[in-house]
Amino acid sequence: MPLGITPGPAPDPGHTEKATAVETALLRRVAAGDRLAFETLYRAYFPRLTRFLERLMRRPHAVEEVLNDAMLVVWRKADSFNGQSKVSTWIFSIAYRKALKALKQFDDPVEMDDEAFESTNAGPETEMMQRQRGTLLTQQIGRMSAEHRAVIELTYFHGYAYREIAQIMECPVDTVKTRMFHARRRLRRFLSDRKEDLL
Amino acid sequence: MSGRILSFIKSPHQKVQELLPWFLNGTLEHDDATLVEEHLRSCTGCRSELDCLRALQSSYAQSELAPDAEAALARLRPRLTEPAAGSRPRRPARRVPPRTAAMPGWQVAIPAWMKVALATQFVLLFGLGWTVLQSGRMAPEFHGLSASGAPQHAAGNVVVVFDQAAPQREVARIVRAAGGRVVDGPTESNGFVLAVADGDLKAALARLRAEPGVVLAEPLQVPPSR
Repeated sequence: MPLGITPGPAPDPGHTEKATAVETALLRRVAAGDRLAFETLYRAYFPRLTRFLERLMRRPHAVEEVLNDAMLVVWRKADSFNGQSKVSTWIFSIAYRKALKALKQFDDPVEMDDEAFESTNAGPETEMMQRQRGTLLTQQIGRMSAEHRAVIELTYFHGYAYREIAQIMECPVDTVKTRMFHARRRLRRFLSDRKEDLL
Repeated sequence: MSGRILSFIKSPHQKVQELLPWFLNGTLEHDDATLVEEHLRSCTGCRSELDCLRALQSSYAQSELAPDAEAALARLRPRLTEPAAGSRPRRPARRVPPRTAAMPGWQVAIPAWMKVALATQFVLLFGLGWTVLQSGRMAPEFHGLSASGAPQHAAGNVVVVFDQAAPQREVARIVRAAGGRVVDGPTESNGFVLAVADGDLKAALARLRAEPGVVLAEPLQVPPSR
């Protein structure tokens, strides 16, 4: 392709549509009290939600509890799903709210923590050089606020569109774009500071 | 105040800068994607930024977790049967309005205006049904294709989710026994889309639902695009 400007792996719309139909049908059965359908949905979402919550909360010991709290809401409130969004957006939205609630108990900062972010640049050189680029980036992202972490995670790992992320986080679309923009700017600054280590 | 005048109107360059992460993950809608593609042809800065984002994504997207769903699910199961605090029962019985004590059940008081409305509705429905029936008789060629037995939903008309433990051979047997063929799947929830001849749909669904290895079998209803 000219200029090498093709987008990343675009989701297959047909497959996505069918997966959505399967999940909608499963959720309908869950709403009717079908335990087997619920457990199928649970197993399908467990890896994705675990990754999302682990990155969002940064407290591995709390992930399972929040995940189970979220899936319990899915079990109890499945009949309130109105089909206005995808099932996956609805479930992630529940998990996101549960995670934020848990983070409040941990007294986690809800805004970008500039001081914490900047202080990581002063880490020992030897340690920095031993770590891989991905680990470094994950650490830097982990020092951002939960809202910024969520936007990055939902975009880069889970492949959500910005409108879907706005639904999950219950915020305006422009807020999603702004959070991503600021997070990228800070990561770019980090990468340029550490360019020699990372190359 | 700094005295700066803030502009809330974004330039095309700023708009594209904001959209790049979603251009990269392939989820932009057509208009946004076109805007980005056209801008990238002439902006080396944005192309360079896209390369950085690509590197970021590939570094970040690795998952190091190997979570155990079964153990976590086992811990959740006892909570599924607990009633939610302050919640109503899961499947509340439909409330039947109490009958008037002085009347038998078939003589529930109906206001006169409602009787007129119901009668009018009945006449209209009857007329509509008659019209549809007549138009059907006048266009027999429309039904010619289905009469041949060809499935009208070659793209799939049944959603089936199999038990995760069901072996592939068993899945194939169940699909064959139901007279279907797989046109899509599996999805992450082990769901498949089958194509079944329309005339056999009801029987195929009944057969699938009777199989112990089938979690769910429903007619396919693809939700409307947002």
